[in-house]
Amino acid sequence: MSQSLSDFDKTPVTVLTGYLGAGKTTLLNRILTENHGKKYAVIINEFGEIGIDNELVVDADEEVFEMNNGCICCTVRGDLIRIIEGLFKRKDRFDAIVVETTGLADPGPVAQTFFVDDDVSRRARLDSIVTVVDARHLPARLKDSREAEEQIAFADVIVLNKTDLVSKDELAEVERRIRSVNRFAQIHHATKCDVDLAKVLDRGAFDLNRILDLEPDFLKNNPAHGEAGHVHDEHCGHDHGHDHHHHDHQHGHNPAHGEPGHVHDEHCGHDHHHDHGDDSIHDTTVKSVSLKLDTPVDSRKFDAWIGELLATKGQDILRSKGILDFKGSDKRFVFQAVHMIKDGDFQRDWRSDEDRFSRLVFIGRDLDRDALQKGFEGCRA
Amino acid sequence: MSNVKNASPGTQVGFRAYLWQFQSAVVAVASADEAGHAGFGLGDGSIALRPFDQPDANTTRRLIVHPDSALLCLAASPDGEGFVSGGDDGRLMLTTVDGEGSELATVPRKWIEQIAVSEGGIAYGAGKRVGLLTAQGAPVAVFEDHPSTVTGLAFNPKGKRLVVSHYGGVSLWWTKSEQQTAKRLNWKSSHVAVTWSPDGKFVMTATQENEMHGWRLSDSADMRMSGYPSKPRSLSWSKDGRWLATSGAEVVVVWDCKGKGPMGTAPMELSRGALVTAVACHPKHGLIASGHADGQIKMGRINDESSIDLEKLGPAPITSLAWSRDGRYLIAGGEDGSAGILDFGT
Repeated sequence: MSQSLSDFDKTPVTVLTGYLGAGKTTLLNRILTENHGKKYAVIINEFGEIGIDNELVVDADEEVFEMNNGCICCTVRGDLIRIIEGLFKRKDRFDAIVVETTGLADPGPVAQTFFVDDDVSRRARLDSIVTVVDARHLPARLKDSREAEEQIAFADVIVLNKTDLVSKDELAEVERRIRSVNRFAQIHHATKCDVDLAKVLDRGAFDLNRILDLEPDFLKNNPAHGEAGHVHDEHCGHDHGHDHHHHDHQHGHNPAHGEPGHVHDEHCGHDHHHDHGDDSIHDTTVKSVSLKLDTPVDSRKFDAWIGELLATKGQDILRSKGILDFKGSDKRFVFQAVHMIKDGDFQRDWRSDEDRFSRLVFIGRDLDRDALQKGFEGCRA
Repeated sequence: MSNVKNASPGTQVGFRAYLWQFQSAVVAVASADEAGHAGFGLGDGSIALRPFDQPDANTTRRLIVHPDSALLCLAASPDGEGFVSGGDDGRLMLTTVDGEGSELATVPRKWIEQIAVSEGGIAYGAGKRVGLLTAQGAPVAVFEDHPSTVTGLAFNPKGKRLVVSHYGGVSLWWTKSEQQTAKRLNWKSSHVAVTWSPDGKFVMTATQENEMHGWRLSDSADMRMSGYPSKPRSLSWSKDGRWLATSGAEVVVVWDCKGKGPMGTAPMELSRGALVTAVACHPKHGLIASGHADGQIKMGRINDESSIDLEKLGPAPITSLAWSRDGRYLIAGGEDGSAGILDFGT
């Protein structure tokens, strides 16, 4: 496997998540009917109520397969693998793909499918994860549903829909809640999903070269949301109901087959098990942690630290992104990961007029900010 | 367009290659032996035909079998007079080389992705459903009890049983209409292809984890064969049933299945090159044709482990290879629509 997370000659795939009733179907219908210059094949879930009879709308049963190596990053959507391969048998008929998930779906396996399966990653690339949320009902969803939270955590783009049904204060509060979970998603307000499709489609959110263009906030010296530390605090000290077991399992990947970019082999020896049996009074447990270093980073120390961190905490770290100022390099190094699958590359030169620094953002569950900060500081050159 | 190749020293293989290009991907190829035609199932829903006795470019006929849809699977019909095909239109079609088509089954809003054919019957897979029909296409039974979408089908050598692969293992059904419960052979994995050994002793699957898994049916013992960089999805047995050729590595990985089975043995490796994407054992001799990710077709010989390059079909991966029953013609197709017939007759 030689793909990276950012191969750009491949068919883009937009993953559309969101709770039932949030407005996903409205958005899908717009993608299928509006003139935006691209033909989309749409993979809908079995509960989809798409009103359009289109030969490129495919029904999927969400079949989440755990591969027998027990590694969470190898949990994939088996149905997507088959459907995407099937679609490519008539590749001339579409330019891009949208995958709709049910409101109850964890976006992790969907995203991972595009990195873990060779046959899929050879031809398709994950473009972005778009989550539609209902401004009025989101607070309740976040209380009772782990999935609603994960869908926000994974998102590159959040369509905050039905803003006409809430007051200005309520809207600000909803947005604050979203930001506390996911600091780097782009949020677009909408009523009836009337968002500009160009802001949703073909984002290249996993393209290392575009990550920073899309998220100017990401680079700001002081986190744009100055109250970020404050936000974090309110989630600390919850009992998250996690029960961490250690399973003995053999990881099936054979390192001999050398698959650069994949870090499977580094996290073989563990398997965190989440026990959510008592999760009925759920509140947000996912948060964003943003770290910054003003002095250059040693690339070897960073590789070792991030490798170990994702290997041991990658189940709880849903996504991470970073820009690094490596000692000895004039280029910016850009980093991203989905759970334990990571990717990084040197990007353009640092400009003489910009401050050189390193920033990392983690979105995850039970993140220990101090430990992360300490670990990151240990990477100083 | 035609040539005769003298291969590497010590091996002389003479053949004529007829190569051409379709507009859409070749999904699968098959040989309708009684009718003397090669069939190319295409992504645009058609089957293109070439008579073996006149494989020149201007004789291609196209049968529009799955209009406005993609053909997803193809096999020669049991009587050898035509083809059975499934499409993303949810239809299972039987089509003769004369262009007579009949719809054998429809599964609304599902894709028919799997087909298996034996002398005694036809089976198809669509979603979790497996349909069983007689060789003439009359419905016999429908088996719905599978834990996930069906990913592979194979009859046993006598056509009395059918194995179905899916997530978590395989299900074995009797090919009869009576109410029955499948025998399950479990192995936690996503199984993506299945085959039954010609001696009836083994069921082998390819898995999502880039391994082969097998069950010895006498005692349900598990066999596990790993080391592939990719999914070994194309599986082909030698005529005598001793050797199982597999794709999924940069060599054709050939397992010796005599006796207790291949687990723990080192496989034979033939025809090194780009990733092997399709394999087809010769129906009479100890030869294995392989198609590779770079469009190359090679042939390896089991008894001396030698191999030669046959022809490069195009730049894209070979998707399917099939021999005519007499072993004279090798039919090949590629992901980019490249196609060919190699004639080994003299």
